[in-house]
Amino acid sequence: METTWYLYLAVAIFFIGLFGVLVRRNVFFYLMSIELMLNAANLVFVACARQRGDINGQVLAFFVMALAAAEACVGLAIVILFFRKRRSISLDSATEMHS
Amino acid sequence: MILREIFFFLFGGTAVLCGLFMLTRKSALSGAVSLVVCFLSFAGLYAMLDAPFIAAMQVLVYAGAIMMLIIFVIMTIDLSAEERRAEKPVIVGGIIAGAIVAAAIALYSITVRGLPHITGAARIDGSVTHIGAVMFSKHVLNFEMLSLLLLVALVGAVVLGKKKAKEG
Repeated sequence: METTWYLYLAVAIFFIGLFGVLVRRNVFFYLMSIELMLNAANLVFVACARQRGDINGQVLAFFVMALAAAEACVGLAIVILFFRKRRSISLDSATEMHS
Repeated sequence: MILREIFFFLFGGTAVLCGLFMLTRKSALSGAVSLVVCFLSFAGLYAMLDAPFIAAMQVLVYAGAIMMLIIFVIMTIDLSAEERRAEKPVIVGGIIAGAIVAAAIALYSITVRGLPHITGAARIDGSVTHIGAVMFSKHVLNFEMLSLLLLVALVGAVVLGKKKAKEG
């Protein structure tokens, strides 16, 4: 199987995640779309690791997974805090920074 | 050889379809469940790419830990009041995303003359033994920094999620 196909698939998944980040207002879909984009990047790492015969790509993919876990952990804590304060999970109600 | 292609299109198609399904759901819970299926098919792709350890970690960390965390929080938060309000998609965001996609495709078709013919010929040993040897020799500092980062994220999440004493 050609590596190019995996790269095309990763690009497609990344664009789905991009649409999710830019179009949805629900904060859960925002977080899940970020996870999807990180996964697309991981797929590129692993596909190119196989292409180049280089194990470092897989190690990096593992590091990205751990980073995603840390990001989800803090992000969800912020979501809980936000919901407790605003009783809403819509990103539109995050308007504190407006003057 | 044809079997690899069948499985590639099976897993890849499932990933894309579940991603699109997630994008169009109204309820966050069904979106999360379809994303779990998407991540499981990613694990299949990793297994096809000679990365069995990454495939196992995908199932354990992504489909297991991260998505379960998200589903727990979705269930914790009382969505009944929120979901009665219909969520309107951000039109401007959609236009921007469409423009980025169109620009990327245009740039690709202008700069790349013909398809880059990359065949996945090289095989690597993605076993736990090999990955562990590389991770604890060349990347050992990164690994330690990552464990520190996870600890900081853990403490930060506890501090953020903790109720103030006066709130009860």
